[in-house]
Amino acid sequence: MRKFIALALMLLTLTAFGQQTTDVYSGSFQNTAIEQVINDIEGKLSYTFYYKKEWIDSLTFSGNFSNTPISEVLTTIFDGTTIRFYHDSKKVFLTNGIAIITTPEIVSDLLAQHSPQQAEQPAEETKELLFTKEYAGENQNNNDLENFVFEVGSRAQFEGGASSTMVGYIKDNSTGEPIEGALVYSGNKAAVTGPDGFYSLNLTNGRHEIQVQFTGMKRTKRKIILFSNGRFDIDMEVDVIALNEVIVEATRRANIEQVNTGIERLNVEDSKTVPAVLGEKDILKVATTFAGIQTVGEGAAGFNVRGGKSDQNLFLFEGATVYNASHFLGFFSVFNSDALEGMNVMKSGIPASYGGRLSSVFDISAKTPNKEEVTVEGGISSVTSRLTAEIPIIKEKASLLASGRLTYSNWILETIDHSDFKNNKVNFSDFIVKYDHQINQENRVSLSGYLSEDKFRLNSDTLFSFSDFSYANKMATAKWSRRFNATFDASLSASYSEYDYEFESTQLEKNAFGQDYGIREFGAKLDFNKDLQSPHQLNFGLEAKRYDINPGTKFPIGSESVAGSISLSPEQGIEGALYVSDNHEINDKLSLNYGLRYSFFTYLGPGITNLYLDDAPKNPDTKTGEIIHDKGDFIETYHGPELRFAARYLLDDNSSVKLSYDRSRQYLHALSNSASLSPTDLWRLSNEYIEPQVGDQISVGYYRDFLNGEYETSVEVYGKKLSNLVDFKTGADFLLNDRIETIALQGPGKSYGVEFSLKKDGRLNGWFNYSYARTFIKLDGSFDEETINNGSYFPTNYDKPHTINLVSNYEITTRFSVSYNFVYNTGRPITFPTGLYELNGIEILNYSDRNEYRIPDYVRMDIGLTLKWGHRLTKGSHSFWSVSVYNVLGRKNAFSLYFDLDDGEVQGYKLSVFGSAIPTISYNFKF
Amino acid sequence: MRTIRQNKYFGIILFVVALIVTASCVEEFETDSIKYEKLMVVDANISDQVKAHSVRLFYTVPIDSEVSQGETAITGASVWVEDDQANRIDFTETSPGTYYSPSDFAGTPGRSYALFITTNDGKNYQSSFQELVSSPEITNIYNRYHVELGDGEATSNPGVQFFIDVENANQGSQFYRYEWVDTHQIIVPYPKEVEAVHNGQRYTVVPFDGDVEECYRETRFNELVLATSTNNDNGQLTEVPIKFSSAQDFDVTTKYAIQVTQRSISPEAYSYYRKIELFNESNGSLFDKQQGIIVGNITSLNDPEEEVLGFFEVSGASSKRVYLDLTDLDPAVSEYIFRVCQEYGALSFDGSIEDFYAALDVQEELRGTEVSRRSQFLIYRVGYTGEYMFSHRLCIDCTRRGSLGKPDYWELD
Repeated sequence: MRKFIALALMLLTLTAFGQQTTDVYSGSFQNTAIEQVINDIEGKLSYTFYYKKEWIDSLTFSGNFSNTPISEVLTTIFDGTTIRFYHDSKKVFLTNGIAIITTPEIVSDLLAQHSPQQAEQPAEETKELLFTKEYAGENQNNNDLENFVFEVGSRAQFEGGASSTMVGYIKDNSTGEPIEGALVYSGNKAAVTGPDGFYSLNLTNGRHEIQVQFTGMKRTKRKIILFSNGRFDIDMEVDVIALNEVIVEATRRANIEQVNTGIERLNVEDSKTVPAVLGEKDILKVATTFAGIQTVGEGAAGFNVRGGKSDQNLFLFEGATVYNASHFLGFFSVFNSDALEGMNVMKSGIPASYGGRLSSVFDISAKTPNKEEVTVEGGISSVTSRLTAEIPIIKEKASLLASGRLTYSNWILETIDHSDFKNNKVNFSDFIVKYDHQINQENRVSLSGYLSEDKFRLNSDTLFSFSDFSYANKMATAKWSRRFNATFDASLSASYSEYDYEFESTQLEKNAFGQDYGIREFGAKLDFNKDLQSPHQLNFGLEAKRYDINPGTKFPIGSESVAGSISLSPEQGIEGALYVSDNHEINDKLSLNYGLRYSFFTYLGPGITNLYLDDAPKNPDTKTGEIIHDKGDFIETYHGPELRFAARYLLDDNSSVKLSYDRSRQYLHALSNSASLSPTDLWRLSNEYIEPQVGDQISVGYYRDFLNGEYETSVEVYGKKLSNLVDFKTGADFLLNDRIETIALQGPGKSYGVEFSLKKDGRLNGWFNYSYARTFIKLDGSFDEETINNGSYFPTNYDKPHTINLVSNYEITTRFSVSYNFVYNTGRPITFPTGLYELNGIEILNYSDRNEYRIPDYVRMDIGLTLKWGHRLTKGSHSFWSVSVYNVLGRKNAFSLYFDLDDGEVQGYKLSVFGSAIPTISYNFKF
Repeated sequence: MRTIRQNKYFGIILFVVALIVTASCVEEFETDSIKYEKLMVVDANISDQVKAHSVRLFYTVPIDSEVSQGETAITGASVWVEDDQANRIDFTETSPGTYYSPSDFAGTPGRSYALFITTNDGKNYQSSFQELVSSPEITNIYNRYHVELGDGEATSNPGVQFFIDVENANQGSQFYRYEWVDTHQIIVPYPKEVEAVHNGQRYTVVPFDGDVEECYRETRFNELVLATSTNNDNGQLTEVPIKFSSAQDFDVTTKYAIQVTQRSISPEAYSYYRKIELFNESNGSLFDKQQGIIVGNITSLNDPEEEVLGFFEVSGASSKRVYLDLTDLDPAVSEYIFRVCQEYGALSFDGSIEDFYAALDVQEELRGTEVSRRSQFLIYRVGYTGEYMFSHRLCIDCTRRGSLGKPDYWELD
């Protein structure tokens, strides 16, 4: 203590702001750029200078030093410039025109107590920002910006005990890009940056430590003294060394702070070291290791979130709906992770600004391209090659992202000299472009486009099935964001999504036909954020969508074909929603986020309503007539409120409890008669017979951090009540079916479960979770053919009670890390044959009640190694190799069980997608 | 029942995975844990063809047992059919669980029929009424070269696919189920007169008295073949695939016949069979149709909850049989038919039978091949000079590929 006081007294007497040391320096310069001089000093004395390049770009220096003390050297160099410096042991901080005062915090506190006038003085004099050097913690941090005490606001306007609002932008220091979704917090006050990196935090006046974190970026902190309302921008550094910092990072503190339950942010970097099948890093696949997110089987498309059906997830890419998120029918997601920024996964507590699906939202955003310099990233795995480029168009203002991914399986197929493979074609590709223009601090425009395509051509093994199949997603978005002032911003976006598929069967010339399906969605959204200052933050807006669906057409191919043309009448509908929500901080401990979304849907003409006998099952035999609707007629309209509510109560610094309730309505249904989502599923609209699905979810959780957030734990319990889930009569065929109501069944569902989750940060990082989850459906129609399992609740196809996920990564060195995954889940339900009989000379199996049995449990372990080169972003390119072994135990996990009859004997078969361990090597680069 | 992996999607997945890692696999799985559900099955069929129509009543059997078990038959029931004019046709039980109509019974097109059953414990069952719609004639039966791919193991099987055309398909119910019976005639070129008997030490040649020159091999459909003309513009059915015959089936065939029976069935029956067809195509992929119990048109009058399997099918039937020489097959298939008797021919040999099989008359370096070739041969005759005549065993004894006795219909129709 005495040392500090002595030091303080010494500092206060200094006329030049700097500190004496014994280092001496020699050098001779003639009109040399100051940066070069700095580099020379850095080299000779192992010093580090901190500065912004543009401050010294134009400066040169001429002069000689010979064993000159460093403080004198610095004074000489910057004499006559606007540059001021602060020098501390081996570090030199430069500022442009701002004086630096080093006052140890404790000393200033002491001084403040004992002689307030003196302590105030430097601030009064400098008026601007005041840098204060603090000794505490100096040895723990690499970045000394973290140890300065910044003053925010004007000391003159300081009012003790009152609170003020601090606003600012969080940016990536290497690209100048704003960072969306960064968490800015102090104590238990937190804010998340918006799309333009803007945050607003209300704090009591006085001393705070502001923490900023975002996955893929180095966590940083700033010490501030808040005097009054003021602006404070923070630059974050890319966490290049810690490529593997995982989710834990993003949700640090968010675990307990965030008001909503069940929301997680996943950054692309997180998926890099998770061993993936065939080496395709895949952000959506990583999501399936989160508690409550499951798939039906290995390589199955579609997610089941907390017992929801696979069509109940809203996938958004840059705000446009994605109708089929899978390549290769489910093995890979349609997104090239290199071009993605990240993804928000919401499985409960869904904000009022999202709607249209019952179970979850996967909000995926493309990277905002680098505006400073060209970067190229790419990789080669066993399935694809991919390349992503970020190109500045107008430096610091506009830039372009272009990304593409292609399979080369076709080429492999061509080279295989085997007649059975010769004519096969299997390939997929996807492309992303994004143009981002930061017009000025207030206005920003971004345009993005997306295209993906899958094509299959197979030698047909029978005459009866199709031979060509292709499907494609197309999306485009335009978005204009505008900030009106520090507390009010808005965005306007327009989007277009299209999903089509087509298959052809041309094996039999006379019956050759093609069949297609397509859905188009036009969307517009206007969204406002208004910060009413503490304690209310409002978000409100409106959204409108139009759907145009071609439910199916069949057409003959070739002049020989006699196949008839069928064209189902197109469907069209409009969906709209108004929403408003308020983030209300009642006090330091209790925070609420409540909102209301009111959605409506209209099924539009032209169209035909089939009429059926009142007291008979709907089928072609009971049809009594039809009503024809003209274009633009409102055939059927549905609407209803969707309440969203979330509350968080901080129990203490390290724990909180949360509660959320939300209701959602869904007007669009994927008709799927198979266990998983398939590319031939048809999205159809609610109509006069198919009612909207409605879901209510209540979720309660307890969250606790240990060891200063190194460990995050949570327990969440949820219950869901669903109505009008769409299912089908047994054996129904819905392709080219104009009367969906004759095969569809609707019934209530219920899901409940508990999720335990543990996440760890540090060199050994990763997450572990266990979920117990059940989900049931009831199909109890008035007639036999509309009733399944006697009308009682039965487990859905995706009911998997026990799930364990472990994803871990250990950084042995900064360049070398190992990872390990473990997955366990209960086998999914399945319908088994329970009897055998012969009819008309044909042997037939009779089946049990639907989903009465289960396939065997699933267990899988993966291991991976990642080796990096050139891991400093500033030093040109860097690359990494990853080697992984998927399913290292080689366990033959059942994908399904099925039965064949052979001469009257039933043989059960177990089908495994991966019956052995799968080693993969992939190479990734960035420069 | 076919085991074809018919599902395209899964084919793709397996293919992709196999291409890259050869990792997917299918293995057998024990079915012991599955319980057995005993349900009544009604296999009943009447048509406008004059014959004794049958109704079979039995229970399902556990999946790990064989279908053909007599003890599952439901005996002692009263079974009758009524038409929409209340005419009653009684069926009598001639073997356990199988009930026949009078042999002069034929349904009348335009009439509707329902099946009634009263079991010996007093339970009553009834089907819905089904109209008999006569079936148009099959216009044409023809074949075309086709390669059937095996179960994903890249085996291919060349042969011929038989198709039919029906010009006036819209004159029937438009929904059809097909049955086929095919017959291979086998007349061997070297019918055996003698045979060699091995007494443990050596062969002795003894006369053979039987007539094994001419045989017939009959096979029947064992899977559902369905077609509908509702989707076709001109009301015709064209290129309906009926049956695939592998080229190797014709190795010793001298003449071939195929009969196709077309049954004009109700839309309800069609959709019932279609579900069965879909479930039987199951191959374990996630894209399989959701399976479940398939209930037909028979209900229990005493217990509406009781699920009765099977269907009372009422059909108008028309049959067509064609006879084909090998030259009538698609010429493209001929190179895949291994004509055993032409390839092997007959051999005469002067030495002992033992020497023949040891091929001692052949150069030593060729002997191995010749020994294995000759192992296919059998003696069929002793020549005039006492030499032994050998030929491929399929070419001296037709019973190896067929059965004796010409079918009643052979070349009469």
